[in-house]
Amino acid sequence: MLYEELLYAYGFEVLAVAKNGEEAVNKYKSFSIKPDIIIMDHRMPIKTGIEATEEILEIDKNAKIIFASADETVKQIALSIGALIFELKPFDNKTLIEDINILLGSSQ
Amino acid sequence: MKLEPTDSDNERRKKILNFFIVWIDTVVVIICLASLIIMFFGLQQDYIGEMLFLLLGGLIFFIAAGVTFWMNNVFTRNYASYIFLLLLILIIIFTDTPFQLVEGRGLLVFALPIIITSFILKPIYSFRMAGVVSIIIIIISITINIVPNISVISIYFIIALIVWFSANNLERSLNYAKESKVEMQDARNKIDIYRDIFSHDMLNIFQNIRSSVGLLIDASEKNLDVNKSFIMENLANQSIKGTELTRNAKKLFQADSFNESMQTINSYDILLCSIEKIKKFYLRKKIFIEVDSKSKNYNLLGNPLLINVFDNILANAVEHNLNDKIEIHIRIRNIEQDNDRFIKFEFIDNGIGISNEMKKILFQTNLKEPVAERSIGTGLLLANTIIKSFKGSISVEDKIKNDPSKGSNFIVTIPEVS
Repeated sequence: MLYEELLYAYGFEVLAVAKNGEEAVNKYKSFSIKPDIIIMDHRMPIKTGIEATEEILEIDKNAKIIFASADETVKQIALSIGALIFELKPFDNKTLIEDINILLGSSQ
Repeated sequence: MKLEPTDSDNERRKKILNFFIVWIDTVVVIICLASLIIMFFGLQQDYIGEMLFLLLGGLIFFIAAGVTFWMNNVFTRNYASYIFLLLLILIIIFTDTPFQLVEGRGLLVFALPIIITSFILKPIYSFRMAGVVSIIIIIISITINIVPNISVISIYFIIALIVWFSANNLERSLNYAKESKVEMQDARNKIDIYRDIFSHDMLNIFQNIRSSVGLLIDASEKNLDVNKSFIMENLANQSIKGTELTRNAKKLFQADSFNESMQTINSYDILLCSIEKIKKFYLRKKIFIEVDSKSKNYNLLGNPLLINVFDNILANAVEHNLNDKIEIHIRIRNIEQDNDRFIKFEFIDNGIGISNEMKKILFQTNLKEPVAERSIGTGLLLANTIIKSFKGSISVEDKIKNDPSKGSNFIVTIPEVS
């Protein structure tokens, strides 16, 4: 996965990658130590990013979610349900890394 | 009264009945007002009794028509129509002398319920009303010892025929307009969805390219430790995806012409071409495709677009497969369903499989927003559209029943041509 490679290259650890929204929710439930950040796509099979975000935030209202989509129409919904940052595709790596660092409360 | 092409038969007849109620009620009110004015100014003193009767009749009709209007809009149109017609016939009968009804001006007024019936009930009912009116004329004629006027009764049936023809044509034209509007809306919805999926997938490809290039630049400038060959391969794949996406989208936008140039084609030959194409396309992947067929001739009524169906199903099996060795088993058989002959193609792969939830929406007939929301690519959308234009069907099952993770079995069934 490209984003696994990318995040590792910038010094982050990727706990898991999900192929769809449902898998994302199930993996989140299964973690004993929850991830610091979740990067969520929107258009995915079975469960959309919006649905998965809602479920994850129901499990843990403090989960930090960066919502990434090429569909600008979901921006308001994503932010209103609790995603902290919306990245409109195509975005550059620098923006993503900066946003991750903002959410982690540190800067590189 | 505004008739819309999208109105159902019931809605349209309801509107027409409302129109007639209001129209006839207005006429009754005008007549009653005129009678009141005449009485008020003391004119026509000799006819004061008849005028009071007219006023009373008008008032009763006004109230009854109001109730009918309410029934039409709140309860059932059918009963409201029958009550309205009954009221109309009663008002015709009670506002004229029996002689005038069967020999004079009443004959002309009796055409009114015949005309109205065909528009507020079914067009063919104009004949029934002509029959009812004829019976009334015969009864009144016998009551006052006059021979029923057969020529007038015949004219009623001619009026019924003309009205039936007109109302039928009006309904047919409105239904045609309705179908055209629905088809146009459907086509517009499809184009919107195709455009949405295309632009979304294209932006995803650009995102992937941008991230890959950015990573390669940072790797050389900041000495990041990255798997360069993986990123290069990813870039190559994105260019392939972009090409396929553009081709599929172009064809999807031409979907209306899919059933043109239909001819008998040998699907077996087209399948072999598609297999060769896929193997060349994914040259770096280890793909093993086995074809299990009883014959080399599987003729169907279609067109060369069939290759896109096979291309997309095979590409889907290759792309959604994490194994080093990608295995696709294609089984072709002649089958019989409901006394019709079909060719059944099964594409069984060892890929990541398709979940049960996804199976439900993958080939749903009506394109709706959730299809785009749930990331259905243009490839399978195109395959489905082409197969439907060949009057066939496509579905997906698990390779091993109740275990989606072991791979999928895409089943395509198309009518056979002998």
